[in-house]
Amino acid sequence: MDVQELALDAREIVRRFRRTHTNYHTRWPNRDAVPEGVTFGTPSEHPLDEDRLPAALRAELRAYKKAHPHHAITFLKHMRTVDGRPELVIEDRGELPSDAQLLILSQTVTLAACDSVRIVTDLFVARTE
Amino acid sequence: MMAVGFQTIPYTFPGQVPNPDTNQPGIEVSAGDPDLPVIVLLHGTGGDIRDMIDPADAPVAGQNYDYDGAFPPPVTVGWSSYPGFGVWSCCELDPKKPVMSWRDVLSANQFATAAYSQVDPDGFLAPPGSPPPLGPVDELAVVMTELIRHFRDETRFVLLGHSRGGLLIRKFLRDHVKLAERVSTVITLHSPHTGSELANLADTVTAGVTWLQGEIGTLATDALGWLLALAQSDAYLEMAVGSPFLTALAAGEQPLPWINYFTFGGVSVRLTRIRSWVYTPDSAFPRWHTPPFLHRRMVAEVPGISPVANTLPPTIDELTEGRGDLLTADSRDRLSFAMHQTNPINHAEALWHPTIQAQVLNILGVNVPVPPADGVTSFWW
Repeated sequence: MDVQELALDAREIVRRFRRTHTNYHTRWPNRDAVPEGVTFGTPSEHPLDEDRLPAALRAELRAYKKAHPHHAITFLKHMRTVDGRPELVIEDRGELPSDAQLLILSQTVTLAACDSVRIVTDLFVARTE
Repeated sequence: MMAVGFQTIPYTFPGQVPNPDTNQPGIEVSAGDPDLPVIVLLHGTGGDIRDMIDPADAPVAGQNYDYDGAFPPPVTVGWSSYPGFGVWSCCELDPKKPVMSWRDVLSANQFATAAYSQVDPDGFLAPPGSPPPLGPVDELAVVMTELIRHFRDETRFVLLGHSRGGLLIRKFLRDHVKLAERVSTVITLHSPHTGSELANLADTVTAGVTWLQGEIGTLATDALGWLLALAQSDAYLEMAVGSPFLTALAAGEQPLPWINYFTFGGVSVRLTRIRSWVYTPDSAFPRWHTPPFLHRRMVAEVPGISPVANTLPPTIDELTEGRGDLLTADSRDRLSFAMHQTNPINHAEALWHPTIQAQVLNILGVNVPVPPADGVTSFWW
C-alpha cells in the first residue's frame, strides 16, 4: 500500500529548523557541562569549510552554487550525532542567519548488522550572501 | 438522538419477535399535531427500527462517516535519532458524525411518526412457498390496521420508505387497497423500483471487497462488509434487475389516484476516506538538536483505495459515482408516475442527510430552505 507523497514546503522546513534551534553555548555554558566524549568548539578553533563536507554533500553544494552563482557561502556550524547522541558540535555564539540567508546541509548514514546498528548524522549550517 | 415522547402500540404478527438489540416489541408512535398526517417510517434491507429513529446506532445504516471533515492537525511525536518518513500507522476510517433521524426531524416539525422493526428484514417480501408464509407486506397491513384504529378517523398517513421499504410500500398498496384509502402520500428514498444490479454481481462485489481486505485488512469489512452481506441476501436476490418479483410488481401497476407519489435517488458512492498517519516531511530533516530528528505525524489519505467505495471497480451503475448510491442506481429508483429528486448522497445518507430531509419536509407542506447536499456537515433546524 502506498501513501501519497507529501509536498515539501521549503520555507516551512527552514522556519521549523529555526523554531527548535538552541545555541549549545547556552546549553553548555562552560567546559564542565559538555558531555563526556563530545568535541565542542568554535569555528575559529575548528575552521569550517567545504572540505569538511562528506562527498555527497559537496556534490549537493556544487549543484546549489551552480543554481545560485552569485551567492557567497560561509559555514557557521557543524554537528555530528551518532545514534542520536552528540559527538561533535562546532558553533560560535552568534544567532542563525535570516531565513533568506540560511542554508542547511545534512547527511545521515546507517549501518545495520545482527549485532549492531549505527546512525550517523552530519549537519552543517551556512550563511549565503 | 433527540428525546421524543412516544408510546408503543403492540401488535400481533406470527414470526415477529422483539429485536434483541432494540427490545422493540411493537409500533413506536411519537406524538405530533393531530391535524397533520402521521408519517409511517419503513426501514430497508437488513435494517431495523433504528434506521429511522437512531441511524448512527443502526447496524446497516450506521455509516455516518464524516468524509468531508477536516483532518486533525499534525501531532508531535518526539525527538529521535533517525529520520522519520513514510507511514506512521495505517489505517483508519473517518470518524462518525452526529446525525438526526427521520423521526427526530419529523417530530421537530410536529408530525406524529410510527416506526417498527420489520419481520425478516433481509428475507423476501414475497416469501416463496405454497401457501407462502406471512411476510413483511402482511405485517405492514397489520401495522396499518393498528394505526388506523389508534388515530382519529380523519387522520391520513404518509408512507415513507427507505430502500426496500419503498418496494414494501408498493406491494402493500397493491395487496391492500382498502387500507391504502387512508394513505395520502408515498415517499420512497433510494428504493430500487426496477431492481439493483448488486445482486446480479454479488461475485464482483465480493472480489472488490476481498481485494480491499488485502490492502487494509478488517477495516474493509468495517467499511463495506454490510454491502457484501446485503448483496448476498435473499432480499437483494428478490430485488435483482429483472427478478420475477419486480416483474410481477410492475405488471399493470397503476398509481392510486388519491395518493401523491415521490421518489428520491442518490448519485454518490462516497462513504469514507481511508486515512493513514504519516510522518510530516520535516520529520526527515535534522534540527540543531540532539537527537536531531523531531518526528511529527499527520493524517493523509491513502491513494488507490481512498475514498471508499469510489475505488471499487465501477462495473455497475450502483457503484458508479454520478449514477448510483452504493446499493441502488438513480435511474432505477424512479417510478413513472412519481415526482423524482436526485441528490449527490449515498444510500445510508438518505436516512439522515439534511438536504433530503428538507426536501421531504417541503413535500409535507413545511416551508424550509433546502441546504445544498455537498459539504453539509451540520444541521440547521
